[in-house]
Amino acid sequence: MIAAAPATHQLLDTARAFMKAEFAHEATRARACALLVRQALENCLDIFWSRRAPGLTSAPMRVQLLCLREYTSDTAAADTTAQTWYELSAACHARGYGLPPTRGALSAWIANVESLDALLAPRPPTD
Amino acid sequence: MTDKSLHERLVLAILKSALSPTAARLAEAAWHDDEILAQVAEGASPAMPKPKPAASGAKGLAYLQQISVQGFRGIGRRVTMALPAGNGLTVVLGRNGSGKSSLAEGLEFLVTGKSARWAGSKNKVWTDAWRNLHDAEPELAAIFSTDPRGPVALRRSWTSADLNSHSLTVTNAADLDELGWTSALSSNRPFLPYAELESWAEKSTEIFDTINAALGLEEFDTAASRLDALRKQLMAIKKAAGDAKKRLQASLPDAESDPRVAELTALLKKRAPDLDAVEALLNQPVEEAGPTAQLRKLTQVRPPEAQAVAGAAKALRDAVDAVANASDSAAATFHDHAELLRHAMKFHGKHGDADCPICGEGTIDPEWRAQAEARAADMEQRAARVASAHSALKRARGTGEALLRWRLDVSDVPPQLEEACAQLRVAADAWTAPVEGPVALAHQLETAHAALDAAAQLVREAATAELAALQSAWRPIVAPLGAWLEAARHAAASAEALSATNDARTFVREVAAQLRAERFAPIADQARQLWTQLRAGSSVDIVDIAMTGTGTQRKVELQIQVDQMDAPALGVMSQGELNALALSLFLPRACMDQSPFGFVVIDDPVQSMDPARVDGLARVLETTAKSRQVIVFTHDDRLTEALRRLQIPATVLWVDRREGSEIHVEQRSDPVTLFIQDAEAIAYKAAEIGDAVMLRVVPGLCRMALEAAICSAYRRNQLAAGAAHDVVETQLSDANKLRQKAALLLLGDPARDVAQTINNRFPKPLANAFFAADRGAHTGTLNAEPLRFVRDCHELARKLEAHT
Repeated sequence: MIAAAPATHQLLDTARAFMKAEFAHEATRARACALLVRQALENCLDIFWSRRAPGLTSAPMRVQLLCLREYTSDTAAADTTAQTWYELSAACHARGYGLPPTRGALSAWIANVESLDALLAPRPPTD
Repeated sequence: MTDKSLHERLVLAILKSALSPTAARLAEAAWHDDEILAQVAEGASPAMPKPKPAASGAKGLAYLQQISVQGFRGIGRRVTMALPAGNGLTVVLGRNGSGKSSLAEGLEFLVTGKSARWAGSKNKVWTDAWRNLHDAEPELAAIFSTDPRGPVALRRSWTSADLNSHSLTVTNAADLDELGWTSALSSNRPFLPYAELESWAEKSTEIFDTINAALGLEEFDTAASRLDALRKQLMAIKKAAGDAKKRLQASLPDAESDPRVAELTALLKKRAPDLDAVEALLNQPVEEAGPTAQLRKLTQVRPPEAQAVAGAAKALRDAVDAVANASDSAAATFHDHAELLRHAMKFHGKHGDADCPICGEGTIDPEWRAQAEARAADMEQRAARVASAHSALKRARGTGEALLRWRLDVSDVPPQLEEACAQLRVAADAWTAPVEGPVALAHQLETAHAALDAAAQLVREAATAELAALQSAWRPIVAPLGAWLEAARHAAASAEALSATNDARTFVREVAAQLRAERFAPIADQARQLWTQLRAGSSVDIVDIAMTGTGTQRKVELQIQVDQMDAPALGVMSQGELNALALSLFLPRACMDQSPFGFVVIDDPVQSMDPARVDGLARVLETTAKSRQVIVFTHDDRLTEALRRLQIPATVLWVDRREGSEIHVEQRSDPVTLFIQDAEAIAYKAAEIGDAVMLRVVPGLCRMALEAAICSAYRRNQLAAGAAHDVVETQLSDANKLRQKAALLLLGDPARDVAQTINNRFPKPLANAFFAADRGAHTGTLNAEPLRFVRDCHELARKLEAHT
């Protein structure tokens, strides 16, 4: 079963909708949101690399995140992105004693990915 | 509540003791109440009340059915958490800030009216920010099931923003007292907040107090403190006497000034002055006082008056002159001459006129008779005058001699008057010196009197002055002496009571210490056993726990060995070990038979415990949950993981915060089930949220289910094989990805490729599900029907979880 890949903003919108929707289990909401936000982040980078450095799309995330520092002038944003991805990654794997991410964490991640999307979006031609 | 058996123990101990009868009565009276104790202290013998029989312990335990919290601390809208009834273990799981602590604190505050976490804090954050500002009025409520009374509801509400303006409503019982909870809340407090676990080591005295309260010996403590108070009171009386004595001694003049002062000084020198003698001295009338009386007599010393002396002297000299004028011989002649004439007249009367019978020359005739008559009368008069002069002289001599007989008859002359009196005596000696004849007598009267009079005046003046001085020396002593006498009498009257009180006090403390040791022994035993379960590889061994000391020195003393060597108490223990130790001491206390509470609430015992100790904790909780409803609040999954792995039955409730301080509580299953349920829920929502989104979420959730299964199996297998907790945890967290985790579990090495093993070991659909979950988590693709895929993942997860 294959569906068309949703755009970054779609994934983020869904995550935001999940934050307010009713779920039988609170954990479901948190895990689902985390999965969506992480994919939004990865999606965002994928689109960026396909424009700027197509070879990086298939590189491991660690490499992609390190390269981002070089490809964008905003190193702070790159660092935030890396940090967000590692946190999301932790939330998307069953670990030792992890509890689902909190609402606060989810909101912060959504905001971070949104900023990233805005930062990496192609700028309108200036000429 | 008077515990009869404790009272019997006291009476028995008194009978066996060597206490004086007064001390024995004081010891028993102190047990009863202040009034009886005061009566006994005053020497009365009031009847001792009969102790009430001990409250019967047949009541059933109270279990927590549900708690709801609203507008309190981190909780806004009402949160209700229902708990499985009866004995058993419930874990309330929630992240920091999820509202789980607000539930725990809310429950504690509801029942106790305070919070241990805030109680010691001076920080206004606690007292000011206790209300949750999201719309809801603060209210705490809970329902407890009690037997045979039935459900009891507690509700605590506030009338203002002041934290202390709360009030408690109890339904199905008059109040907490009726439930027998009030005293039990201090003696068997069923709440152990983290704050207490964390800081107890520094509060050894408080631990002593809480454990002491649990031992049910507060009546002994009350008796001891009553005796303390009585002792203080009696000591104050003793001190008052001492102070009054100091003031008296400061006001004492020179002992020379008054013999009474000397006497008093001598009396005061004794350790126990003769108070009766002092009182006699104080009450002695001034006139009767020896020296005072002497002085008073001396002020009255009066020799014969100068006028009388002068008169006597003159009378004497006049009489001497008169006698000299009428000589003795003349007097006889007058008398004889008159007698002769009388005889001649008698002759004339008998014989008539005749010639003179004596001379013969004249004639005795009537003419002669008339002349003779006159002459005889004259002669008789003259004779009488001479006789009268003699008797006048005799009288004057008598008067003069009487005057000279005056003496100074004062004995015990006070030393100050000695000299004046000596001079007076010299003058008096001169005055009374023997004299010959009336003229010398008159001379002595005239010459010796002036010296005598002057000396006597000196004595009088000196005595008057001395008397005045004496009174002015004594007067200022009278008030302080009276004050001291009263205080000293008071102190003397209570001296026996004081010594008896000291004895009774020591005795009651000794009996209490003995009973305390007796009652603490099983708690200490249990605590040591719990510690053995909790220590989990700790090198710290508890050899003995004892409650020692009294007053400010009281503490719970731990005798600790590290690697079989005696160690200095708590300094050697880590925070995790201290927590475990506090728990070891807390649980036996909360689970004592006498407690009316069926529930025990422990807030965050897992903090700062390492994984191995968490296993011990799980075991301890399992044991405790057999006889109690154990409610544990914790902030991470370690405890629940240990419970699952060790197959300890427990209900896990998960607390989570949503927007607007809205807290949700839901029951939580094992993680595999949770993830699978989550995945199914999303898959069912495909129509709503769209396939594209669904496909981006479901594989990820299924992957988490598989990972959770692998973690669970690997942890269980490795720990069962004796691997160290931290090694296992490091391996699991290093193997971050699903394939690495699977390789770790199935091949023992996360670096090896696990694909072949998966394909070989599991049926095709399950192996496919494995790879689909791994891939789909990133790509949002799935080459299977989503619900089918979730079920395959579930089956695979169960198989992986069962892998040994």
